[in-house]
Amino acid sequence: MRYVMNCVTVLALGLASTAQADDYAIDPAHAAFDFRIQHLGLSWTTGRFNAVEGVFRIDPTPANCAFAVTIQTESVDSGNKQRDDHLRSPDWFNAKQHPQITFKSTAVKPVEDGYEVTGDFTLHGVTKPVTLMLKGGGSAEFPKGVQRTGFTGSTVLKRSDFGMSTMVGPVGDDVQLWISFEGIKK
Amino acid sequence: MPDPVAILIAMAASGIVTAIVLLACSRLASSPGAAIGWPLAVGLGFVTGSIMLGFRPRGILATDQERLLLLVVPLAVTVESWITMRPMSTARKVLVRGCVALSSGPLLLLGSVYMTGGSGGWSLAERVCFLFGLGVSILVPWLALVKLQQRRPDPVISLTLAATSLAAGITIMLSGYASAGQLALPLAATLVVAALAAPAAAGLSAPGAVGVGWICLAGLLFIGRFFGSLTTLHGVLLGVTPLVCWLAECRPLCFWAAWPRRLLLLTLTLLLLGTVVWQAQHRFQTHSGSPAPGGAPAPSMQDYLDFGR
Repeated sequence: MRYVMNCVTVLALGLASTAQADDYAIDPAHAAFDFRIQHLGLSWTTGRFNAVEGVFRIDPTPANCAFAVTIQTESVDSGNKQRDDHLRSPDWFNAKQHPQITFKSTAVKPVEDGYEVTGDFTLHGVTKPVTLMLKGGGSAEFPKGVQRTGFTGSTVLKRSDFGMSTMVGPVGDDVQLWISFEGIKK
Repeated sequence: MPDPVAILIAMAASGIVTAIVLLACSRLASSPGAAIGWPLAVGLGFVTGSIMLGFRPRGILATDQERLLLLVVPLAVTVESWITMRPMSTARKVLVRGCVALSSGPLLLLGSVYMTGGSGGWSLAERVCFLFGLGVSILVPWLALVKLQQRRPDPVISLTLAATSLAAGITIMLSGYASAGQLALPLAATLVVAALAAPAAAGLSAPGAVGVGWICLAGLLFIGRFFGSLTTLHGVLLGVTPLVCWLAECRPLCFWAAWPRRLLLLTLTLLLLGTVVWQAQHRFQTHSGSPAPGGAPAPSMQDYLDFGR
């Protein structure tokens, strides 16, 4: 249902686009949403979300491009089951109360080798504007007959801005996010 | 995350608030207001401890803890106070408590995937069945504990609830929901004070304290299970442990002197709780490590240094 809504959102955003616009669905097998957060100021703990889906539209007019990504909070994976259980609890992501993390673009500007994408990022039930520098956009046919394109981007956000203030101090407030995905042309 | 010093301070604050409220209400012994002393003392003690541990409402009932502390617990305090102040038939008491028990589940799960039917949530039929079952599982021990307190007023019931709260707190923390688990520790302190105050405050109604204490404990087990990773087995075992007190009504214990009987009940309770906490600790350690597949030994630092030689 969410996926269909994302499609509708992207299509609605692209109403003004020309016939040259291409719609893509994110390939979950080639999509990653990773995070890094400092632990005691000594090391970085890394993790990822295993369930990433979404759609995007690439239009020759960059302002008509649109991106919508949905991540299932429950799929958080830091390589340690006990820590993952804690991350899913209300102390952190509160996966049962806020089952999804979403990003929906509101403005897209062209930059060298990609796009500067600004959008509404919803995490832990709080929505804030976030800007991602998405690099890429090359295309490939793989397997034969399937057109793909892909992007990679990163940003840093403060988790306390999203109401996730547990253990700020021993565990860093700044979270580095890294997203990479391939889309399959519809 | 759990800070032992902060927890001890919160437990002390809970105990002090409980004692102050009980003392204040016992001085109003001639007025109807005195009747609300027990439920109010336990409810306020629990909420005070929670605030001391950093509980701050984030939004209008946006989190499970807010709904427990600002909705379910005040509801239980109100109902127990009402029942204490206004004599009513047994059927009516069951009905009133039943309404609270049955509404606790939907209130605690409000807005979550269980109620909205999202991924990993419940269908409408599952929702009705589970919520009814959960409501009954809150109501039955509630009625049983209050009934026992009326039949055989004994501080051992509050002490058993306190010990169960302590074990529940540790188990919930070990199950990955630290902030909810630590709330059970001030609850334990509150119930200990209520148990110790019982002989001195005779005349006030202790069933109210037991009722509110049970709802606080059941609420924590509930959110530990549905928002944290408390296992159903641990939740059920912790939920039924206070019912051990009913053995006091069975032969030959009912003929025993008070102290040996109390000692036996507390020993049985601690054995049960110890088993649950030990099992939860074992599970925590198992899940904390990342053992190599196939039982292979984990590589040592020397293994890394020797790599490729």
